[in-house]
Amino acid sequence: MKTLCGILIVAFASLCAANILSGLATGNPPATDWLAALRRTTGVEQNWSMFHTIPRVHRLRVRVIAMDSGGNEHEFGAGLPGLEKIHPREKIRYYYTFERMFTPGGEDYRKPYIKALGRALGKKNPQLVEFSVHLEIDTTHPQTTRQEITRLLEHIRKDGKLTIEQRSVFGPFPVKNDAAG
Amino acid sequence: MLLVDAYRSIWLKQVDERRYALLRIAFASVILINIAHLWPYRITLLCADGIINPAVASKSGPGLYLSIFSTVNSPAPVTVVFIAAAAATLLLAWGKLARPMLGILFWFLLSIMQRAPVATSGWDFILLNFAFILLLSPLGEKWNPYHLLLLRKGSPPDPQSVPRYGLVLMQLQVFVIYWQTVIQKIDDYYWQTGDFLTYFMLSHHSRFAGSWVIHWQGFLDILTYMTLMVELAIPILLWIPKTRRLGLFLGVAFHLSIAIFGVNLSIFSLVMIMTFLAFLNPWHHRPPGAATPTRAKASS
Repeated sequence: MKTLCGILIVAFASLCAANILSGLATGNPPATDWLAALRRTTGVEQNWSMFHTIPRVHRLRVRVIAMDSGGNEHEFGAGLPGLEKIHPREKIRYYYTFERMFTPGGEDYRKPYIKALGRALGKKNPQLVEFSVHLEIDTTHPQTTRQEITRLLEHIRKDGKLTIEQRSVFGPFPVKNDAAG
Repeated sequence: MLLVDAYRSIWLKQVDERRYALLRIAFASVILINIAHLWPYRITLLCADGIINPAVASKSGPGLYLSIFSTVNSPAPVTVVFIAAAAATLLLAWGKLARPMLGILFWFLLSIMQRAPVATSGWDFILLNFAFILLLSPLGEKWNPYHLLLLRKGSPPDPQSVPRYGLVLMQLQVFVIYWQTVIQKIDDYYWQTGDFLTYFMLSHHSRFAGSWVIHWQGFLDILTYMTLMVELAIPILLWIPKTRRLGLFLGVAFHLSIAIFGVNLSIFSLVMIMTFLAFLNPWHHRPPGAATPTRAKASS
């Protein structure tokens, strides 16, 4: 029994060690589908890319601006379900969420979020007809800037301006009013 | 035969079970702190009518979707799950039903990552990873914080010997966490030029962002390169017994600096400091099975 236990431990530990050490292989080669699924489900995936490049965002704000049938603007927070204001600096997971949803690759999450926003706005105020999501980012280094040719830090030193404001507006989208079907 | 024995010994060499108990208690404490950190997000990120669509989340990765929040998805039941998870951390720390509690916490961590994949942070992956290794390792359940830290008078349990495979796996994991991140960083333009820390200190991650940062760029360039060297050195220094104290000092100082100068990175620092315990052996001078001073005194 003791020998069997020892064999099982050595086998398990060897498999785990091989998986862990594969994290150092060049490019961390992709596993087969079933192995990737197993690694993801057991949490033993090896992807440790914390701060592997510069953080570019100095400040992120997300606002929801809705228009009523009279043409008046109303501002709401971007949180759901209650349209509460969110603070991405204080609450880091909101930063991750909105940064990932509103950058390329985040469409799958963005589309249903915007639909859910439309429903929440309709519930909050049946007079609202359309809305847009305003993403305001103060960045020290816009994604579109080529790294090699622009020593942005030198520009910052010269003109004293730390950030560049980038505004993106998503919308307008219709407000889903349950009463109107 | 000699090689086989040497290989077996890597995993099966006996160590004091209190090393596992120390890790188990520290792990439970860090999870409890993480649950407190996640508490304000539980409605907006985990409920069905929150920010993240459940159907999209369920198809986001290659793994089996096992999130409890696929069925528990309204505010009150989600809150109950959080309270249950917090209770599980306390029981785990106390060594009561430790393995089932660890299983519950593994499921809880996995559930959050699967239900809100766009909200995950680096430390979520480290916690899940360590939960998996601990789940299949000895846990030193007999030892609760009072016994372990000798805070309670009376007879603590006799320390037993257990195989060290869990500790070795966690040590390997710490090596790979630091070294893989360095491999990725040295391939990046801003780490190569030394600009990284200047940009970091100007970003929303910085507690003290401001124009002062630009005037310290030369110093921050040096710190950028030192960061890479420190990350390479920490696991090696921790691994070698003679340099372990230096490794611990360097690692704790490094992660405390991240927690002080960074915003919202304290839990990451705590998690990494917790992983260092896999290397520590405060009981190396007293072989397992030998009577502890308290017991020896009591029996005399």
